[in-house]
Amino acid sequence: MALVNVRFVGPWRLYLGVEYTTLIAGTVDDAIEQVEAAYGYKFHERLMRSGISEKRRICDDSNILLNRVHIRQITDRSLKDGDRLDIIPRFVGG
Amino acid sequence: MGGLSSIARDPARRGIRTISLRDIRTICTKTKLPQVEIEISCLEHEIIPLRYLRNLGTVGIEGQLKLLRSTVAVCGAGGLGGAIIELLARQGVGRLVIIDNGRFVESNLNRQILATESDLRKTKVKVATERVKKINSAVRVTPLNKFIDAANVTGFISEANVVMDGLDSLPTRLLVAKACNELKIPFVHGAIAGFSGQVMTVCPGDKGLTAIYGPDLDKAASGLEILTGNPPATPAIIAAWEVQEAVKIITGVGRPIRNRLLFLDFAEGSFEEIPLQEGSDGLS
Repeated sequence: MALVNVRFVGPWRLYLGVEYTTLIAGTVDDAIEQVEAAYGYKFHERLMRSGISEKRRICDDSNILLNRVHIRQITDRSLKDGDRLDIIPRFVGG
Repeated sequence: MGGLSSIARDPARRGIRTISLRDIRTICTKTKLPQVEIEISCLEHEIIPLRYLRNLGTVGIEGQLKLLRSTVAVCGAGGLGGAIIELLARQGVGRLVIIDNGRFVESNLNRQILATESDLRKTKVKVATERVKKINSAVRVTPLNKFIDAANVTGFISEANVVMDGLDSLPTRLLVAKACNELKIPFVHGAIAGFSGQVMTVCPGDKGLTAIYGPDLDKAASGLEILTGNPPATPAIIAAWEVQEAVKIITGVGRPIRNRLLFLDFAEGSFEEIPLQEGSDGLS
């Protein structure tokens, strides 16, 4: 298990009410589940207020970087002390 | 009254020779040469077309010549693309390739700068072409009322010096970025959602969009904009930043935003630079 720094970028701060947090997790997936458990309900509330009833997770609408590298590009998903996760909202609009 | 400021505003008092649009058009009529060629010739002789006078402090005569000799492909002519087209025409980019298969609809009116009530149902590329001609008749436009796909993308952008992202689809972005990498053309990425937007320049060999969206980005079809929508100012700001990137790339002035994502959140008034993994994986 490792102590990991998590940073929420841009509108996630507004929607989830948090900018930084730390958590103890063994893997990237474990860390993401902890984020969903702690803040996912706030995202769900926000979606409901906007009339979107579809169940979405924070990670569904995020690009998540571990130490600058997208998590879908890493093979070793274990974490070590001081690792940084950036939760960046995914934008597609033009 | 005025002193230095009036000298600064008066080109003649600064020893700068200028030429008006009217005189350029007269020369065009007499010589039957395209307007852009006349403007280039003037600049080569250090005679400044008045329309570019206020560009020179940032890009110089050499920079303006590079811009006039350049081709920029704009993929998408909606929120981002429309503002990009407007600004590139004013900047004096010599040729624009504008690619979009859409028509203006009422829901575009809030944010797409080219959309007006009288242009509803018209094709975006037709309206964009007319707008460019009104702004800067020297700019040559190649309008392509087409959907970008794997079969046509290379042909559409192959003559461009820079390709601009005004798209609203991740798979199409990936397609264009990949083609840019293969053709060794810089790609200026922008995307928006609500009060936020992001910008990055992807040069050939950079990891590019993969560093942001991951290697299987074609699976992620939408983003947070389905929740936030897009208000008018956001595409204008991000488009303006994309245009600055194109100008820097073409003129060599400044430092493009490479291997770092610029993330702007106007709700909080915050600006973040997110460093990304460097290197290439050949995807974009």
